[in-house]
Amino acid sequence: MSSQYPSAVGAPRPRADGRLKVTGQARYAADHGPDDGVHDLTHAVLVDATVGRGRITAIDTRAALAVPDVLTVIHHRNAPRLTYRDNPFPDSINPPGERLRAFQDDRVRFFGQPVAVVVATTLEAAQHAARLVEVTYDAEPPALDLATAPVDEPVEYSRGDVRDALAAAPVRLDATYRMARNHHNAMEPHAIVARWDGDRLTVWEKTQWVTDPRNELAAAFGIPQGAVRCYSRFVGGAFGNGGRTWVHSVAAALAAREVGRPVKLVLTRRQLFFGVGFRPAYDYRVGMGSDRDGRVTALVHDIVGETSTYERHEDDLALARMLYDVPAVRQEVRLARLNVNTPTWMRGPGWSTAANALEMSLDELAHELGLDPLELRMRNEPADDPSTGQPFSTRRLRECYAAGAREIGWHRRRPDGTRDGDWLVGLGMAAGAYPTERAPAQAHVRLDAGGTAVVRSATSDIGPGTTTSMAQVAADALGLAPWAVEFRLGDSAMPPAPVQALAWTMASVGSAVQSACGDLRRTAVELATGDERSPLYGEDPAAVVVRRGWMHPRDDPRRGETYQQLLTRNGRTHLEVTGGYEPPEESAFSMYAYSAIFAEVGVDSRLGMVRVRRLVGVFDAGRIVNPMLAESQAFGGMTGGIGQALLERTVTDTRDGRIVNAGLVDYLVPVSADVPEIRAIYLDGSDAEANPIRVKGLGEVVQVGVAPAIANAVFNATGRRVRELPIAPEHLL
Amino acid sequence: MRDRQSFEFALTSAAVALHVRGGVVTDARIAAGGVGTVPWRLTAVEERLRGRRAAEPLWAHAAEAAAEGARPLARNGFKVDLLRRTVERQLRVVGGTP
Amino acid sequence: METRPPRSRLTRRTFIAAASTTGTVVVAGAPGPTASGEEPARPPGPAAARGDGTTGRVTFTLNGRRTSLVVDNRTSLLDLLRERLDLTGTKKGCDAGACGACTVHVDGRRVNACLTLAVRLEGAEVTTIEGLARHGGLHPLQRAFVEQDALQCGFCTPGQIMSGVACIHEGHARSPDEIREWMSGNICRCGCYVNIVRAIGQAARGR
Ligand code: FES
Ligand code: FES
Repeated sequence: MSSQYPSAVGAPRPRADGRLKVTGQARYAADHGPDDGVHDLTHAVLVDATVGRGRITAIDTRAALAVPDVLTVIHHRNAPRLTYRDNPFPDSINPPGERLRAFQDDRVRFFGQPVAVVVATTLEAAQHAARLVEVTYDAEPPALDLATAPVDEPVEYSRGDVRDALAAAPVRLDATYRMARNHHNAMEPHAIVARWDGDRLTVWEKTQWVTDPRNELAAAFGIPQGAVRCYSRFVGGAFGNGGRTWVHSVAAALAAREVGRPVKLVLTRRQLFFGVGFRPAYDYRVGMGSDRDGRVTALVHDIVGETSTYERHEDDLALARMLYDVPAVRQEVRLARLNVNTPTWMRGPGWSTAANALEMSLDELAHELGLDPLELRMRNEPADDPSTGQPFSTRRLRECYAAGAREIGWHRRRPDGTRDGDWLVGLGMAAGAYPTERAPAQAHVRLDAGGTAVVRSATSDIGPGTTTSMAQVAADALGLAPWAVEFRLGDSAMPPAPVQALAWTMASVGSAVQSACGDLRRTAVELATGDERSPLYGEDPAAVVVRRGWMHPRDDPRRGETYQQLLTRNGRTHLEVTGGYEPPEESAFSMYAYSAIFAEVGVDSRLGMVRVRRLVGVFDAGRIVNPMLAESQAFGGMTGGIGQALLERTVTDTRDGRIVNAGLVDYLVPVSADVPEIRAIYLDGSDAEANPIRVKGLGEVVQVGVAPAIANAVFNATGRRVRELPIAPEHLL
Repeated sequence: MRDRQSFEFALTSAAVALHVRGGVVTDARIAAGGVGTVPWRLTAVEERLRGRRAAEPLWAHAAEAAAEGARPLARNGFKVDLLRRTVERQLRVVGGTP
Repeated sequence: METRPPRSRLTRRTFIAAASTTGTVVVAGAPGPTASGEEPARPPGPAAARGDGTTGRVTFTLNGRRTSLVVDNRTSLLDLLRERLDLTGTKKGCDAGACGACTVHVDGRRVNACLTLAVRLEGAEVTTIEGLARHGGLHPLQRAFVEQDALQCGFCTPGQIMSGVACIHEGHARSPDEIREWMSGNICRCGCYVNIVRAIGQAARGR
């Protein structure tokens, strides 16, 4: 790559698919129909359990079947037995446990569990009939409360002697932070169109990973993985819960097989609250010991989080072990077995949860010591990763702090906040990190004689602009203009890629794209240098570079030829290469992306309303492939953080497990009026250790630390420490 | 008064109409939202306003009566206080500060 | 790129209009290619033809084209567009008036298509994202959305744009704060608000 001109990467290019999206032509899962070869489409609607736990004792489908246009009602009494082969990680991202199966038994594990599916030729008939299915239950009291539910054996981590360190610490702090359950609520509901052709199944599915529905549906129906094809070109947001394949997808495919016609199933907004995971609620206790200068000497984390009775979803809460240079750390994570559907990843999974607790408690310590919170963090900045002993590949949090402090005007912060009319005004900050992950990936590139290229990989684009940024990477590696490269994704038959999550798509797929395109460029160059008719004949291939499709010796830009000339002369319609990226087994470095978030809030002194007035995020995320897209991602993550801090909580009726605010009217996500001007700054730079693209990942870290920065600003404004997220007016009256 | 800045039903809301003549409240109509299944007329507050001088100590005093007789549920006890404060704020907005 | 619907779809709508003017029950025939090789409109299902008072005929203008058809009385404008007319640019985010993804223009005003019963559209003029710009171009607000990167996943985008166009026409786009308030009925979970406000500001200023 060093021999190439990096020109596309680093440029703020607008989205390649922007035009399709602004004209309504981008087709999401539920938009597929006749134009995609889906004819005779029928509609499926799920019937959901109305008890939180128990058994189904009777199902009466007579009224539903009497509705004109209804084709069938499928439930556990009449559903065929499905194979359900085991399908563990890494073939899927199913967590450990017994996954929920489509209509295979009479047990109700949580309120809202699908217990039947109605299929009709019109959506109206299916919706109406679903309401007429009468299900009788033998209900049992569900387990719903974190504090009282049975918990698994704790997962423990420990270094140093926490007990001694705490006993010796002159300053101690002990606080429990409660974080509400959050629901992803991507704007696109989960949806699937399923069509069988004999024993082969094609699905258009909302997913962050086209490989997962392929494997899970193949496993459920006992057919080879190759017999399932999954398409997902456009995804209307997901934030984590489009990773695994949920039971409704199997239900839809089953329905299609039973009626012998294609089926479309779109979950209602309400059903999304019951069936496709969530960010678990946590009770997170922090014990901390420090010396009087603010050197933290001991950290204890006692954590209880939610999982379901049938699967064990575990968030990675390792942030608390690596963010600060603390010699003695003990962490115990317990998962409570609740009658809920299994939680799943949600933006900044685990790391944002841990940052909420750790960064709020650090703010408490700073207050206790009378220290500037920023200064406290500087005093605990480690030289090497305290959790592994390894050096950091890059860690530039200090620079993030400096840039953020400058941008927000941190010097204006007063220990007791300031006042602006009825508003109490405060400044707060917090830090965050997210690990730089990588996974094996492959990509195929085809360079056509016309001089344009198509690159394909089975990754997704749930919003970051993967189609655009991958084309930029490919363009540089091929030596083409970015407009001459098209990147395609979202088809399980393409070369495999990992799930689009964990902020590792650019690191993994990007590296594969770069490698494949680099190989293709070298193939072309060697073809030229070995071709007597080429002006490049006899040149050392290593000394030839390509720019805008023009191959030339590095020191003689005028002598050369285009890809087009080379291919045409050689009678080649195209050149193609499949290449891949295999991350090293081990690394000598600890790799993370970092965030420093600064918030200014106003709190109405009498009414307790909190308004974010300004929000600044500074990120150390390695190389930035497309600053325009990266800025949008940061805006998105930080907006999500506003929701986490001030709005988002799922409320359960403790009698039966019903979610009482299962809709966008009552589960509040930020609207435009909640979001002020946001400033997002990425430090210039790159991380040579991280991966060939030198990126550290940004999709997750942009939300880590946002909520605690806002919470800390609320404390600065009001002097009230609310140890609960979201912070609501009722906490501040 | 709401959690979200827009596009949400109010936690509590107050509508205030005051007739003020010669610095004295001659009549008042006060209604509250978000505290019952229908908008709620706050006659007790109106009574405390009538015939009094439209000036600072009055607003807080009158708003005190906003939640008279209110019986909150387990999770919305904060609304009693919030309603008083919301009414007080709105009285001040309409009646003005000296 | 062509923003008008592909030719086969125009033909389908023509077919609907033609069928309706003769008073025939719409789409009585079986689905599948017709003799001319054109596809007929998606069948509304037998319920639409029952004539038992659960269906109604409605004639309105859709993206500049007269459209007449028999609909199930329960059908929302949103489901009519998406499930019968293959105009899938209008999105369903909540089906409850709480997200704005389904925003279209009815007689020049922005409405939630999920809350609008199709049978009530008699004589109305309906514009969807597919009909916003004519002749294959982009509406200035569509262009501004691309230039300002006012979208990520793009799912809320058609609704944001339809709402934004109306917001500008209403005169509610004179300042960022005003735009924020008057666009708060359109949720963007990807969190593009900062850029949406910029895009609407740009289009409102006519740049
Ligand atoms: S789908 Fe109509 S407002 Fe959400
Ligand atoms: S762009 Fe994804 S919801 Fe708005």
